[in-house]
Amino acid sequence: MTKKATTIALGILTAIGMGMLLLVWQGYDPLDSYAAVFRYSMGSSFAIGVTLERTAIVAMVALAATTTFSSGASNLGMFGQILTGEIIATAIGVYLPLPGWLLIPAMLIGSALGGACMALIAGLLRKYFNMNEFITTLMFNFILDYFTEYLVNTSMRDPLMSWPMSKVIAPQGVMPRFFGFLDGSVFFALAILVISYILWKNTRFGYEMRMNGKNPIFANYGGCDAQGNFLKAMALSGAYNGLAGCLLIIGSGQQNRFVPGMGENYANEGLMIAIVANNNVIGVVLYSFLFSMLNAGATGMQLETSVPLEFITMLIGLTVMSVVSIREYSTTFINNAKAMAENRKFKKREVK
Amino acid sequence: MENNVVEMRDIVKIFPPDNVALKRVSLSIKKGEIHSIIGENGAGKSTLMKVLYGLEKANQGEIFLGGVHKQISTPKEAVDCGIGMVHQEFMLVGVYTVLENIVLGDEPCNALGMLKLDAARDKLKNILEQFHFDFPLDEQVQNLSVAAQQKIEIVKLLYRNVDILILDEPTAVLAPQEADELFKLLEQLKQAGKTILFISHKLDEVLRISDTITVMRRGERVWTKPNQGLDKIALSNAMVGRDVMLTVEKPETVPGDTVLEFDGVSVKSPLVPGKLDNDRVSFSVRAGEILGVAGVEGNGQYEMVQALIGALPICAGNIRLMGRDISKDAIRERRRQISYISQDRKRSGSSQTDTLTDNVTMTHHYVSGRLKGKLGLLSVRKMRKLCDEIIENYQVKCKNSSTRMMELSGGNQQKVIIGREIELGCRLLVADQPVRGLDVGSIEYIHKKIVEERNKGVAVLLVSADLDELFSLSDRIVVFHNGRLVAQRRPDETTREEIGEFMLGARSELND
Repeated sequence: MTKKATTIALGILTAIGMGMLLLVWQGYDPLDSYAAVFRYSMGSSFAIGVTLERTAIVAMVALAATTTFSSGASNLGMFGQILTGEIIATAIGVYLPLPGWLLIPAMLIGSALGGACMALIAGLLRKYFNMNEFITTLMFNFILDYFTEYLVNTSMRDPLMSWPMSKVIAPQGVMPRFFGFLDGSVFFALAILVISYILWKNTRFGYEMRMNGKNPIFANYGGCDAQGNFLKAMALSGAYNGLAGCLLIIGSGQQNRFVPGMGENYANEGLMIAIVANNNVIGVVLYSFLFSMLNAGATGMQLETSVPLEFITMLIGLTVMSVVSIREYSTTFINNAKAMAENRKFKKREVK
Repeated sequence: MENNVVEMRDIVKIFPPDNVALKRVSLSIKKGEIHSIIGENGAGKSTLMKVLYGLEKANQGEIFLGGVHKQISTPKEAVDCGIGMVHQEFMLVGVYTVLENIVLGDEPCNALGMLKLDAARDKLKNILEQFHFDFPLDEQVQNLSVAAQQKIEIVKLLYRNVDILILDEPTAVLAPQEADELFKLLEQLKQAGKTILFISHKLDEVLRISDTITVMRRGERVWTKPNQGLDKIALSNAMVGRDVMLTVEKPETVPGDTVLEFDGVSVKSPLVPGKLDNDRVSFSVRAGEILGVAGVEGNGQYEMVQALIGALPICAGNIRLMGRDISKDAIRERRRQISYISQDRKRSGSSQTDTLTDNVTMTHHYVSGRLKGKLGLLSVRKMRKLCDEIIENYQVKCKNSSTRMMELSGGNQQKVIIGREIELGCRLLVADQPVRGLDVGSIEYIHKKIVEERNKGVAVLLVSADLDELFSLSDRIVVFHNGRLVAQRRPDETTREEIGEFMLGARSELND
């Protein structure tokens, strides 16, 4: 445990250090820049609210990616399933006249089901036609991107806007804010994270999914239902993405309407988080928060120190690489050190 | 010193992090002798040979060849120094001819880089004549038997003018008759002045062919003695440091009702169209008996077990478990009633990177109610408890239940697996080569456990390539050859030689 924490801390510090060097090299003040990032992401209750809302959304995508990585099913349709969630939430929110206590759950459930269906289609294509879900999910991203764009260009378009986008959802469909700054998405995401943790640790399905991801042959001989679990894992992963899409529409800090192509950066970030978090729910929470902090503070940093926004994207990339490489290499490094110490013992005996 | 072709001094090898495989091992090999190195698995004999062959780099120590200090860091250098090794798994290309395989890596070429196979053929002819080999040089290697392939590996070394041959458990893949032939060949090689290093588990053959025997235990050399006046008891005591029971105590039991029945089962080969891997196989196993399945590897035993578990579909006949036809059931259904120890503990018997707890949970998680917690969830506490029980009752040496499977030795891994399967409490136990590659101590323990299960009234189906194992455990033995069940015997009414003849297809008792 301490070893895990040490490698993570070491990875993040390395990335931050490298970022500083780059800033110095480019003639910026590194401390000022980082301070600005921190101020704009954590400096006020408003800033914290923005950071946490973003964390909630990206954590959903990261859970989706974690599901696929740890179960051995490949779902790369994050973007497409987020779009599905978004468009369904928008449609319900705009056209279904329901009171808020019904509308919000309806949007959440509708989006989750929509995302699950999209992933499940890929799963069924695999089951019945042996089509690689790796490719089909990736292709669905394009189909859904253009299809949703078509929808907001035609039937769902807001005629008042010059740019193609949907109407704004009914006001009672927007997530309520708590304490004036905390969006309801944060509590919702927290609940989903707790449920996911239990699902992985304490259910048969979670156990079979993990084992299938680690050694499918062993799982198969052990009596795990490989095919059934594959479909379930695909659907679950799609549902997480659908939820992320829904939160992108109904969050109080969001635009509350569908704009073509929105959410693509979340899709990529979710995949990266799943990789650095190493299929661990707690890791997902930590890295979602860290990355959201950097992203939320990026605009502020650009404003104050004129370091371009893109620097943060680079910093996130550096973090992913250094955390993963330090994690992978640390075991080898420690083992080799131990072996050398052991070898010295034999040399000493020789002297005696 | 001068007549020692190989002299290894104070070799230390540490596998990271702290697995000391060789603790200052010294070994001298005389020219022209057959020198056997025996020891349990993990005793370091293979590692020592790999250091000599340049496959592993030693942390300390020196190697002298003919009195000259040598640094050997790759197999290529070893071959240049006249040292060659035949591995347990052959390194041959199936679709190449024998000749092509032999010259591979050392091909005679002309100035333009074109192959000159005829030059190689001439050189080989001498070798083949000298040692009376008779295999067709232009046949594809995949069409030859395992024994022939092994000979090709040896010829490969002779072709490279190797003087010191290391053979890593060469008889593990051979039938008794084939092993005899190998020993004759080794004797001839010795007459021709070659030195042979022979690694083995099997005490009988070591005593039979060796001039000198070295025993290793836990990374140390126990002793090296000339093979005079030594016997099995002396060797096994030195290997494990205590007396081992080489025959399993097995009380007489009266077998009960039939548990498993194969009735004319055929299995199509997934690789070769039109071929049947199992052809009308019929047998039954009763409660309280051990049915041993003998056969040279690749004759249908593996497919029979796969068909029984449900991993391979059958195309004719049916399989009945306690009277019920299970031929159409999924693996998940069948595993409710079958405890199964698979052939390959790393690939199909465990998840190496997961904890022991996760490993013992498999199958229990849906079969038995003993892991159920509140609200129908899996109880992590009960999973750990099951794991702790298995660790204690099956004498698994490990830190605790959170240890990862890969950190355990092979024997302890197998004990975890066997514990898991026996604890399922099924009436049928299928054990496919349960002790392959294990040390004597673990083998003894696992055999004891299997016999205990039989005495409790469990029907046991034991598949093994080791006739000693089959003879000491089985109540009945059936023999597979070419996908067919060719004979059935009680071990006290037959001999290893007779079973060997059935295995090789020299005899058959098929009545159709």
